[in-house]
Amino acid sequence: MEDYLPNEYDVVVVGTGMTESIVAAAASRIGKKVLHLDSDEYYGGLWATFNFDGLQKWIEDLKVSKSSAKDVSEVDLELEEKFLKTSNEYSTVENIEETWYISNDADLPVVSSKDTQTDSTGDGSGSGDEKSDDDKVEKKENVKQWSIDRIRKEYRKFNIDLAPKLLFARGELVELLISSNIARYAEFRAVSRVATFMDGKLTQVPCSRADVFANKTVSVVEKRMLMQLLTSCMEQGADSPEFDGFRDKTFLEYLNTKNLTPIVQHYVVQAIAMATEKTSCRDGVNRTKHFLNSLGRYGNTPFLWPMYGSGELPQCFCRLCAVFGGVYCLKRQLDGVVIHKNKCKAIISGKQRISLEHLVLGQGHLPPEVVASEGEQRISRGIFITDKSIMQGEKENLTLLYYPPEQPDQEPVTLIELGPSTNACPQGLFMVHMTCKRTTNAKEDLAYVVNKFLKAEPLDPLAIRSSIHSHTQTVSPDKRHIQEGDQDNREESTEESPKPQVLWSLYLNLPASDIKLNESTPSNLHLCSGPDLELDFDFAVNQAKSIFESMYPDKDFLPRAPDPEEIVLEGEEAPGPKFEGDTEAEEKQDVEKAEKED
Amino acid sequence: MHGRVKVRTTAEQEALKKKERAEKLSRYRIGMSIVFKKRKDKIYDDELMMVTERMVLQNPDIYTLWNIRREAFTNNDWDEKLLEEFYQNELRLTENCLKQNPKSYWVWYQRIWITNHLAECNWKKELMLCTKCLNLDDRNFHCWNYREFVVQKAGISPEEEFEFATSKILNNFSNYSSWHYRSLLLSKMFHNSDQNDIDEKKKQELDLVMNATFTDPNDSSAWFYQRWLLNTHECLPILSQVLIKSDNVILFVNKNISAESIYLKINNENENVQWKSLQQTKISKLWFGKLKKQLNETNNVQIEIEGTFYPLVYNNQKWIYKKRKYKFCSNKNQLLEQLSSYKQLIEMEPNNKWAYLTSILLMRKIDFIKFYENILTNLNVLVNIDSLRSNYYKDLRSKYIIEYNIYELWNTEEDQEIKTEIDLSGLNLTTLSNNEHFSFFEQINLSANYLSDSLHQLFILQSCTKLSLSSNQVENLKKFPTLQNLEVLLLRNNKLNNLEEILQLLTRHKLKLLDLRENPICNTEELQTSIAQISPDLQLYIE
Repeated sequence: MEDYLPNEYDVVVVGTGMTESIVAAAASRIGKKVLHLDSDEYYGGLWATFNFDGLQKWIEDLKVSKSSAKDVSEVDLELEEKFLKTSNEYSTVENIEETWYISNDADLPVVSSKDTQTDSTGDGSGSGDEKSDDDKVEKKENVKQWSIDRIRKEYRKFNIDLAPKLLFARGELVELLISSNIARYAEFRAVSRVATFMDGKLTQVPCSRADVFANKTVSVVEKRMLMQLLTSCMEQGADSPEFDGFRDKTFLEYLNTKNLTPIVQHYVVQAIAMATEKTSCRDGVNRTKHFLNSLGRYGNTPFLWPMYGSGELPQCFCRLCAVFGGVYCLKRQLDGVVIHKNKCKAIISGKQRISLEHLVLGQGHLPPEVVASEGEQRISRGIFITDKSIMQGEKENLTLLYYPPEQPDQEPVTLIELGPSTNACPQGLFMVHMTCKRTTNAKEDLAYVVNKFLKAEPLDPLAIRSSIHSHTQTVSPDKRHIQEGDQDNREESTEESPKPQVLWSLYLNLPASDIKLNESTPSNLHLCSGPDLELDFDFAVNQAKSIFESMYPDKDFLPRAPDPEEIVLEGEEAPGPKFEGDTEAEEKQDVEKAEKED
Repeated sequence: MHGRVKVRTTAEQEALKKKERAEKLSRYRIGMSIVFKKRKDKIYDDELMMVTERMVLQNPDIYTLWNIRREAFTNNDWDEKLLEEFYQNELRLTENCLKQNPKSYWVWYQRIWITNHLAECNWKKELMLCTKCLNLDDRNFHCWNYREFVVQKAGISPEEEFEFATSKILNNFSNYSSWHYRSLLLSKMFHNSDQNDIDEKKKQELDLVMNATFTDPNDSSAWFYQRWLLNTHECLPILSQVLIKSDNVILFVNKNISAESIYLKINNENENVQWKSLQQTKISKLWFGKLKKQLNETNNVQIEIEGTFYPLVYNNQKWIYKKRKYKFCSNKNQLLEQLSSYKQLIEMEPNNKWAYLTSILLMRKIDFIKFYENILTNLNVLVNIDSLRSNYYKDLRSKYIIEYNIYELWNTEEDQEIKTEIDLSGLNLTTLSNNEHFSFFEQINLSANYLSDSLHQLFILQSCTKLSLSSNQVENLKKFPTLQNLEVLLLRNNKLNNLEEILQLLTRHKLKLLDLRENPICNTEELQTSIAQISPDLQLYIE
C-alpha cells in the first residue's frame, strides 16, 4: 500500500546516500519544499551501516532482483513530454562472498544465562557497559569460543559499514557539521593511532607533537627532521618556492633530496601523506598538509570515526531536512522521470506523478539514457570479524593503517580496525575494514593484505583443543607452567599464531563513484555519486555543495540551524486570546515544544 | 506559514540580552546593599548566606563576598554538625563556580580554606577533581597549585605524583606549569635520595627534555626546564673557601646556609663569631664574621658545617681553606652526546638561539676551561642572531670571562695561599656578575672595561683596598657602594662631571689616594679645595 504524497515540490531527492542527504538538508534549510525518497527500507543506500542481521537481509535481498519499473505505456504524458525509465544498474554490488571460519554450534560451554538475558533486553549500545566485571572476564576467557550462533545471537551489537569512512578533524564534513549545527545529532570517537608496516612489523606512527615527543624509536635528530619537514609542508603548502623544482616530479623524489633517514621518510610517505611511489610532489605535500591541519583538534590523530558507523551521518542530514519540513518516504520506488524540453518536469513513482523544480538523483536511480560513462574508480571491500587487534596494545585502539602495494599490479589498501567501544562489534571482537581500488575482484585484490595481517583459515574447535592439548604434553615440565595452569597455555598458543583469527568475512565490490552524465542531461537533474575511494567524506560534501550552488546560486549553504531555545514558538511572544482553561493551553504549548525539539 | 520555524533575528537577540543585562545589574545592586548592611550589623544569618551564594554563582570573582562568607563561618555559633553541612555546601558551591570560571583566584582560595577547616576532608576526591580539571585544561596553574596542596595533604609520595606529572607532560609538553610542577616534585624527591639516585634521575630527565626541544625547538617551556636541570642541585653544603685575617673571617659555601649552621672551632672549642651576610639575609652563600680574639699561629682552626669538618692552614698571618678541584659532572658522556646532538640542531637550524645557549651551558658543565674559547664564540653568535637580548649575552660573557680569569689565577697559587690580587683589565666586561670570590680580593684592577652601569655590583668587593676603574666610561658615582676597606681608588679617564657625587663618596670612605685624571670634572675650579676640606690627607691626582 503506497502512501499518498503531495504532488508538487521544489526539490525531489531520490536515494538517501551522503550527497543526496546533504543536498536535501540544504534545500530544506532555506525553506524549499523537499521530498526525499528511497526505494530501500533503510537510510544510506551504499553508505549504510547494518547490524549483523540487517546485513544478512541486505545480502539476501541483493540475490532477488528488485521489482522492475512499470511499463512506459502506463504513464500519462502531456504533449512533448518524454518518459525515461530509471535503472538501478549503476549501484550494482558484485562478487559478494561471505565466509565463516568458525563452526556452527561448537560443543563449547554455553554462554552464561545471564548473558543471554542481557542480549534479549539490551539495545546493543549500552548493554556492553552494563555488564558486570565478572561477565567481562568470562568473555575474555571465551575469546576462542565464538560460534556462528553466538555471533548471530548478538547481532544487535554489530554495526557493519558498507562504506566505512573517517573524518579529518578539519575536513569539509567536520566544518560543515559544526557550521550547520548538525553535529549535535552525531557522536564521534577519535582514531587513536595511525599504524604503518615497517621492518616486518606494525608500528604506531608518531603524528602529533605529543607522539613525536614520546616516541622512542627515532633519534632526536630524526625527530627534528620529521618536525621540520611537516612544518614546511603545513606552513608553506604546495605553492611554496620550496617545491618549485618538483612541479613535475614525485613526492618521493622531493623527499629524497632532504637527506631524511629511512624511518622518517617511511613515516611521511606511507603514514602521513599515504602516498605511493607515483604520487606527485604536489599531491604529497597537499595530503601531508591536510593530515597535519587536522591534528590537535580532537584526540591524538587527525581522524574521527562516527559512532555506530558511517551510515549514521546521512541520517543526521535527513533529520535536519525533516526538522525544516522535508517529507520522507522510504520503501518508495522511483519508476522514471518525465522530461520536457531538456527540463526534468516530474517523476513517476507508483501511481503518482510528482512535479518538481529540481531533481537530485543518487547514482542507483539514473535513467541509462543520461549516462555517458560508468566510471572506473570501482571499489573492492573486505569486512572481517576478528578475535583480536592486528596490533595489540594496553588499551582498545581505533586504528588506521595504509598499506602500499607490494607488487606493481596491486593497489594500496586502507585498513580501519574498530573495537567494541565504537559499537562496531561486541566485547572481545574487532571489526576490520579493508578498502582498495578494484582491479579484479574484492577477494583477489585484498588477498595480499589479508594474508599479511589476518589468519583467514577455517578454525576447527577440535583442532584448537588438540593443539592446546598436545602443547601441554610436548612442552617440558616447567614449574611456571604448572603453577599458572590453563591460562598460561592459552597465551602461549596465541604467541605461536600472533595474527588475529578471522571468524567471519565478507567480500564485495561496490560500483564506481566517478560516473559521468552526458551533455544532453536536463540541467535540473543532479547526480549524487556513491561512496568514493578516498578515506574521508570530502568528495560527497563538495559534490553536494556544488549541486546546491547550481540549484540556488544566491543562497547560503546550510547556515547554522537554530538550537531549540532560539526558536520562537507560536503564541510564545504574542499570545492569542486565552481560554478559561488556561492550563490546558499551556499544556498544548508544551507538547508542541517537545515535538519541535525532537 | 504554519509549521515553519521562526528564528529570532540578531536584533531581537540583542534586545533580549540588553534586557537581561539590565536585570542582572539591578539584582546585583540590591544584593550588594543587603550584604553590606548585614555585614555592618554583624548579622550572619541564612539570608546572608543565600544572597551571597546566589551572587558568587553569578560572578565568582567578587572576592568581598567570599570574605564575608568566611567571616560568617568563623563568627557564627553553629554547632559542629551544622557547620560541617555548611562546609560541604561550600565545597559544592566552589565546584560549581569553578565550572564557570576555572581560573578564579578567589574560588580556589576559598576551597583551600574550606578543606583546611573540614574535620575530615576526602582528599582523594579533591585529587580526582584536580585530575579532571587538568584534563580539561592542563595549563591551569591555579589547579596545579591546588593539586600541590592536595597531594601534600593526602600524603601522596612525590614518586607517585611524579607518574601523574609524566603522563601530563607526555600529553602536551608545551606547558610551563607542568614542567614547573615536575621540578618541584623532583626537588622533593632529591631531598630524600642519595647523589647516585639524583644523578640517575637527572640523566633521564635530561634525555626527556632533549626530546621535547628537538620536537619543537621554538617552544621555550622545555628549554627553561632544561636550564633548571643543568643547574647543580647539591644536597649538602660544601665549603669552598675561608680566609681569616686578624679578626676578620670570610666564608664562602656552595649553597645558601644560615649562620647557625656554621661553627668555627679553635682547638676543638666552638668560638663565638658574629656572622653577617651581605644583604642581611637569613641564608647566604657568603658570610662575614668578626672574631672576639686574635688567633695564635699554633691554634688548630676548623670550620664545621652540617657535620663536615674543614681544617684551616696557617700561612703568613692568615688562616685559609680552599677547595680548588671541583669534581667533574657524573654524566659527562651523556652531556657530550647531547652537545653533539645540539651541534647537529645548529647545523639544521643555524638561527636557533636556544641550541646555542644550551650548547654553552653543556660545555660549561662538561669542561669549562677546555671549551672556554668555544663558549665565547657561541656567545658572539648569540649577540648577532638574537639582538634583542644582546646585553644579556654580553653580561653572560663577562661572567664567564671573570670565572676563567679566576681559574687562571688559581693556577699560579701556591698550595697554602689564596691570591688576593687580580687583574681584570681590558676584558670588555659589562658586569661584575655575582661572583663570591670577589669578596676575597684586596687589589682589583677593572680598568678599560664597560662597567659604568654596574657600579652597584662593586658591593661584593668587601675586602678591597685598592680598586681601579680607570677607562670605564663612568659618568656618575651615585650607585658606588660603601666599601669599608677601600684606600686607593683609580678613576682616571672616565666621564665624571659631578662634584657633589665625588664629595659624597669621600665622606663615606677613608681614602688615601684618589685618581681623577682625564675626567671633565678636572676643569672645575673648586674641585681641589672642596676635596681638601673633606679629606685633607688625601693624595689626589688631577693632572
